[in-house]
Amino acid sequence: MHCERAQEFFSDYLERTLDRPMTVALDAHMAACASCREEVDALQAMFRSLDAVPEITPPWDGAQQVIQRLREELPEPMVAPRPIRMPQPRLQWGLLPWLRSFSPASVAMGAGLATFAIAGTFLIPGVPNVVKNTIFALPGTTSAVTPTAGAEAPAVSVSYGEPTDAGQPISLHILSATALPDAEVTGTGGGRRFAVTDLSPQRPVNIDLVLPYNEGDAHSVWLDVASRSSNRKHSYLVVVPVRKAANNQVPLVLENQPIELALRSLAPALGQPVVVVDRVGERVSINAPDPLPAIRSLENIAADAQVRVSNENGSYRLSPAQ
Amino acid sequence: MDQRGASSFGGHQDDAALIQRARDGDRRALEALVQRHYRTVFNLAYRLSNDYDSAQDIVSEAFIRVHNALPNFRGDANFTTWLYRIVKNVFLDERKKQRIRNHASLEEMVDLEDSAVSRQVEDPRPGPEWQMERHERADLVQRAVMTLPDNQRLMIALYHFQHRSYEEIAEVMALPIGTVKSRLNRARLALKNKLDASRELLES
Repeated sequence: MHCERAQEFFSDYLERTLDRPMTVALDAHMAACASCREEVDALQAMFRSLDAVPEITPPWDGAQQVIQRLREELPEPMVAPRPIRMPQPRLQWGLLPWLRSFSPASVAMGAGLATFAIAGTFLIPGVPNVVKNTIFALPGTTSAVTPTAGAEAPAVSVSYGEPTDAGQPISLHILSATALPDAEVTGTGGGRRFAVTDLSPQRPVNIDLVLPYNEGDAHSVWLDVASRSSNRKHSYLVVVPVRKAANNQVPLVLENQPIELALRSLAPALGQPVVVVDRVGERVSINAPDPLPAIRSLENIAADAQVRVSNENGSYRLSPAQ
Repeated sequence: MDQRGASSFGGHQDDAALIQRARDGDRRALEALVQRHYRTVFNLAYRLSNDYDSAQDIVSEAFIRVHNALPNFRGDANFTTWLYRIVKNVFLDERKKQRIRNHASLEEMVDLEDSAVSRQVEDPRPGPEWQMERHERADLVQRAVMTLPDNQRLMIALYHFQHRSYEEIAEVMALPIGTVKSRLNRARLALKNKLDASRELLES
């Protein structure tokens, strides 16, 4: 066998996929040819080098950038979610003192029309997840609360890895579409209070937390982003599952629990983080292949969670209970 | 255990449900597919382009094509393989455009890459030595991969970085398995020669 002919089978030779006569022929050639032996050894070493090339960490908001481009370039889908006008919700959340100066009627109307969104992706064991949530604007809130330009709440994304004995490290990334130089981000998570300032479109604010994972199946982090100059405040509840619930079932023992506990139960059932914006509102969209089991279970616990779950054209909605 | 050929995010069935919803016009299902496959596809695009911005462009364009081609997607086909094929087409189209723009010959590109290697060697970087070595080795490999012709680069990336099986690569490249195997063998030998040349440059 000539060297050139032998070379054609080097990969198969290394992977031991040659038939018996060809293996014997190659073995004989290798025994006689030092140069081909060296080649094969070098090739094997190269396989190891290729295996050692690490995975690239993509930009943290890369997936969201792709989604943004899809939204800009593709025509609107045929099935568009329709907002529902809601009556005044029973939930009343703490607003900043400067919001209290508005008339109760205007605040109530704003809250009544406000939207909250739940979105996300999947908990994949062993693969750090980057979850970017679409934060909906607050349509219909009073103009004093929502400025005319840049009406969207800053986007919050969550990244997290596998739980460890020491806890589960998670990072919250907050990126504002508009500069909010005087914004204060405050919140609690993992038994720790945090406060950061200065949000800009160029630079996300990152908050790294290590959350204990022996306190149930999910973590919750409360977050407020407030800016006096733009007269805005957005509140977030981020619920991150620690483990995936078996069969997507929400344990019914959680019946008659407040919404945070209900969501701490929903997140593991969905296997994905849940981010609630501004805590009052009507609509939820869930990117899960089959959210029905979780939703059905949630309906059972929704009674006293002050939410109502309805399915409309495949879009699941949470609304304040009547 | 060899995970080669295993679907990157495991959920063939999950994909099928999302694809069905995306075909029905549910934009959120399409966005969920982006979330699920972004990391894998970005990695392939990066290994082909060696540039974050170009990789991001390739991924975006690929998902736009996914959207447009969804009505033609066969339900029984593997979405990941289909996605890889679209990424391959985007990459090859981009390269064609680049060639028209730059009139750059392969030889010129090789020269450029070689000088990039020598520049990098002269540039001492901080950090623990082992980490530096690992990164330098990975850089060296990546630069050598970049000097390969497009189709060889694709096959090396799919097999060695994406851990796809020969069968899957055959589907992605639309080639018979035997051809994939023989071309991959040639690509590896070519890559080994490039790496030998880079190492000699390093040692001299």
